[in-house]
Amino acid sequence: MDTTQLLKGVLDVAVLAVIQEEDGYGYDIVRRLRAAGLKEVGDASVYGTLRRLYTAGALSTYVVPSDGGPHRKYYGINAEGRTMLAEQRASWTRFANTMSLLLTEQHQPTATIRTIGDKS
Amino acid sequence: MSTTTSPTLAIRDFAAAVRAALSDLPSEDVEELTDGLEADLTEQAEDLDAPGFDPGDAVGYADELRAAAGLPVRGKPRLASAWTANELRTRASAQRSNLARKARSTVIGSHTLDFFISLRPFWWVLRGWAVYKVISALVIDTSLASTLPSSGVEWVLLLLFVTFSVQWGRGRWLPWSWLPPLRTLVSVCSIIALPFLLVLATAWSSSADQYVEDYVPQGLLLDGNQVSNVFAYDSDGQPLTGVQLFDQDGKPLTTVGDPNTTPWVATYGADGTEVLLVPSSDVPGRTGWNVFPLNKVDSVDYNSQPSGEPDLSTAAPAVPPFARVRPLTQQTPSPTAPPTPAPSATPPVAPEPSATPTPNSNGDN
Repeated sequence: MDTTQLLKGVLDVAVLAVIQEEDGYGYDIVRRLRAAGLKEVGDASVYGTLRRLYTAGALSTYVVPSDGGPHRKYYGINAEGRTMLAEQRASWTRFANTMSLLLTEQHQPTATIRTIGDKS
Repeated sequence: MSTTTSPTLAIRDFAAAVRAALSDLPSEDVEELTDGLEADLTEQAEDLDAPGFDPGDAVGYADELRAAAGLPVRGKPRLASAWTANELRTRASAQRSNLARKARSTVIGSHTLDFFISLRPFWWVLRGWAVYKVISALVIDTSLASTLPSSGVEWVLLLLFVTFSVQWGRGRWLPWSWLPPLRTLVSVCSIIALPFLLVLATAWSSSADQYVEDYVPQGLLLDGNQVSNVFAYDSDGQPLTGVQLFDQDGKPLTTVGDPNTTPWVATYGADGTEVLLVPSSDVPGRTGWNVFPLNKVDSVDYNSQPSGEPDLSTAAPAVPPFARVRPLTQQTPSPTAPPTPAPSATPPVAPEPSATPTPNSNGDN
């Protein structure tokens, strides 16, 4: 299954979750998402998501000077972001449970039929 | 946070292409979306530890950015009439950046691109010169057939245009939004005009130079003027005939260019009269062009000689400028001095000997 398509729907909550752990700048967040297992996450998608979440008021930003490189813009989660994360986490949990149940239920009838078939 | 090195040219080109592909958005949106893009890409390249890190397709990247950011999708197929200059510029810019990025994907391409980038200042100067040539030819009517100015005003113009061109090349002195398009227009016109301007300017001047370089005056010269005949006088001031002259290398001293190629030479006196000179008849084969004075023959009568060949049988000693000159000693020339050689067939019309200029009256030779 194309996980890129799946990611699109959950990137917001994934980004919020990563930032809630610790503030980070653009590529830092990409790196942490990938390290968490979302290997296929596109950096441009993350940067776009960050910008959208910031515009929506879920994130705050601040600039951190750097000795060795350019100044970096860090993103941190704010109260609105936390609320959003909580809602989306709940939504995701419901959705994931439903999907898990659905996929499990789809599996059961097959097993039943086979069982019946075996018996007959 | 890891420290990052400065972004490579490939990354800078890529970031520029991404910004170009987003340029239909408000500038603050573009700024927010791409702020730190170079740093992020540099860090990513370091993470991947790939020397030839390829960020991919800039336009696709930009589309992904704007889609994730919830911004309007670009480039819904529009009507042809909606193809504005802005759109063209954006596409050209993205295209240019993509090309640069592709060139950078190979070592040779990267080096070639760097080489041309280092030539950019030269191009700026050349562009300034091209504009100067066209403007000065149109406005002050100067000749196209020169590379450099010939007057103070032209120098000022040239310096002005070159300065503007260099500043524009550096992205300076462009206070109004219509100036960058003008710069592009000037560049395109310069590229088209330069071959013609260069050919016109260098072909003319170089052919003139070549003429100067190649032209070696033939024969004997005195202060740049052709010497056609030489008259020698002895120490008593009497004219000599049959004087054989050689240069310091022992080479026969001749007054005409290549004596072997010509049986006679046409010269012109100060009054414009034609004088035909022939070599001494005492030397076999008419090669005595170094025996002076040279003889002269009658001018060609084209009625009797349609071929234009002079009658060499009419050869006679040329008339010396002076019948006699001042003797080397300070004594007054003896009036009884016999005009022994008497080369002059006609009575000399020269001034009296005492009144003649004596170039070497001090007898220093």
